[in-house]
Amino acid sequence: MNNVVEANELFKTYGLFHALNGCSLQVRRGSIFGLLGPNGAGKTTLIRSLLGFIKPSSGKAEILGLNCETQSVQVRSQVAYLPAEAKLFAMMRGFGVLDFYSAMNPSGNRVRAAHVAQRLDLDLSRRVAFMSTGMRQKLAIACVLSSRAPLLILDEPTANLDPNVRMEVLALVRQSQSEGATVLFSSHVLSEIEDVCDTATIMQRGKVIKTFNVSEMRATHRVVGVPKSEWNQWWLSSLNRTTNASNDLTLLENTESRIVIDIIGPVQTHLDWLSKMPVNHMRIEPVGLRSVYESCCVPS
Amino acid sequence: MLRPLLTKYFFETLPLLLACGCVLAFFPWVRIWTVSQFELSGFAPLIEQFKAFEKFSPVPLTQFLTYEGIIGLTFAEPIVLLCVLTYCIARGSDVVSGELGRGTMEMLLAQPLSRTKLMASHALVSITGLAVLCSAVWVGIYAGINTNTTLVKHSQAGLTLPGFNWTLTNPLLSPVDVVTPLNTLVSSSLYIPSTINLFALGYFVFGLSVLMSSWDQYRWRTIGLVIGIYVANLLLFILSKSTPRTRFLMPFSFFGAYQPDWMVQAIGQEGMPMFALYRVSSEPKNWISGIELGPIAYSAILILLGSIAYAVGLYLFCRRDLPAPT
Repeated sequence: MNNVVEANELFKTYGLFHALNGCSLQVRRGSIFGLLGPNGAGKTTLIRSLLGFIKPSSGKAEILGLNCETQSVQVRSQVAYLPAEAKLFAMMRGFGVLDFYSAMNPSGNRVRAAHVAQRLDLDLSRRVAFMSTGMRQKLAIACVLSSRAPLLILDEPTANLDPNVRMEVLALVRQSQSEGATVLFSSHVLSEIEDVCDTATIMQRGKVIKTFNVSEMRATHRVVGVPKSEWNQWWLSSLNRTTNASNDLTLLENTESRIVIDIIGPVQTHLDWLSKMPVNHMRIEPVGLRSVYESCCVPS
Repeated sequence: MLRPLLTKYFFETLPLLLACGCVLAFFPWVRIWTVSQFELSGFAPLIEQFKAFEKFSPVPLTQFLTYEGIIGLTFAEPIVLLCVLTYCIARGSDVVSGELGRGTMEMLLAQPLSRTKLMASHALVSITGLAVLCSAVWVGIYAGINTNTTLVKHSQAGLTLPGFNWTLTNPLLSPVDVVTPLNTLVSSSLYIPSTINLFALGYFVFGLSVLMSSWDQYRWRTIGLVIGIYVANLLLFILSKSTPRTRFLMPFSFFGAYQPDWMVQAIGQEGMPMFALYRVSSEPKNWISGIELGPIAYSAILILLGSIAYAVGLYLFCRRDLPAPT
């Protein structure tokens, strides 16, 4: 079984509102899979459907071959889940919380949890009620990232954390991956997804609108310029002459005032071709996740 | 895996359990001590004044001129009911809407734990706590009866005839007060069915609270709804007692099955077996003509209703979508 998560045509409706609208996605084993999308896109609804907290109106989801709706207890024994803004038992002290969650989950590990908490510089002797929001988030992260579960689902794990701790958390996520875990990583912070994920998907209005390989995206460059009069003729003839190269080229925009071309793969193989391009004010820049995200998520 | 969950529920319950337990163990003792300071027959004229309200009482008011009856009234004391109901509503309302409201349900149910096991663990701790509280009431009564004395008027012996062992009282001598241990006048075991009835009332309110909690998201609303239902039932019960025409309302109020005073009277005065389910009566007093329900039947009704409420709550919780923490 190559995919750890398989969701097929998931729908979740609340009256006339479609929280999930035919959402399908696959998460490959051993990958860090980024989940992106604007607020209300359905990311958290998708995650909560996978965990059996909400029942989809239709469609099917599986984790490691287990049905998320009918076998949710078995599913959750394979998953460590960090909710967005995790809330913990206010009356417990930090070490009490670690004890509790380590004992509750067969994948839990108390020693490892204490080690993670130490890496995050967390005072475990304090009661949760007297912890700051960031400290509570660190405590929840320690509970979840200490788990040996095959799948980690992290919903905005770095919210409320300072930059140093964010980096530490991302390092812990990478470490979990290197130890064999698959990670489903939902975040609004594009740079984090770009840094840590192998694959990412963008959701909007309850469905997946784009899934892409992040390392391929990193290798993509964008050429922007103002076309000269002979541009159109040159472009067509150049495509005919360089058919191999044309597979790596995508003309995204072609107007009188602006052309935008994406080059997938090493840009140096196209330098000769680029030098002959009849455009003024040419600019070559790496395509960041922001560009992909903005091209997909058109504000409604 | 359930052990940490049981421990968590135990420590969440403990402060309320200790507070209510102390009150419930101490209050009956204080009450019995207070009662033992008075000669109850002195209250006869006062009781006579309330004759018009006798219809609201499950037993004749003269029952309260006996130590059995006046001690039995402990179970109708507002402080006892308040403690038991506070505990039951607080614990019952917490299981779903409490955890949802605090946002802790999300991480709790992210563990490999079925919703049924979650509710069962909570019920195990809460119902054990309720049993402890009700036992505390009985222990308080037991201690009160066995450690207090009262003054009982005895006629003075006048003359003992030698050889016959007969004692003739002298009517000219006024009775004397004799210090008498309460346990020679009242048996603490008489209050066991009433204690069970108090437990059954608590169990029903707990089941009702769980039912309300299982579909709700806000604990304050759950508590409000349960108190609303409780007060509505109380009013219905009072209304059913007010006139013969409104008597048909009695079965619609769960207070009809909370009869600790009546149990004390039926067992102590009428000799009804302590754990009788029913008895055939020439004068139908209860819901089924010709049959008078016994002490255990009343408690069984409340426990059955509580169990039904709990089962419906469990069904709703297992089927509902959990709202995201706010």
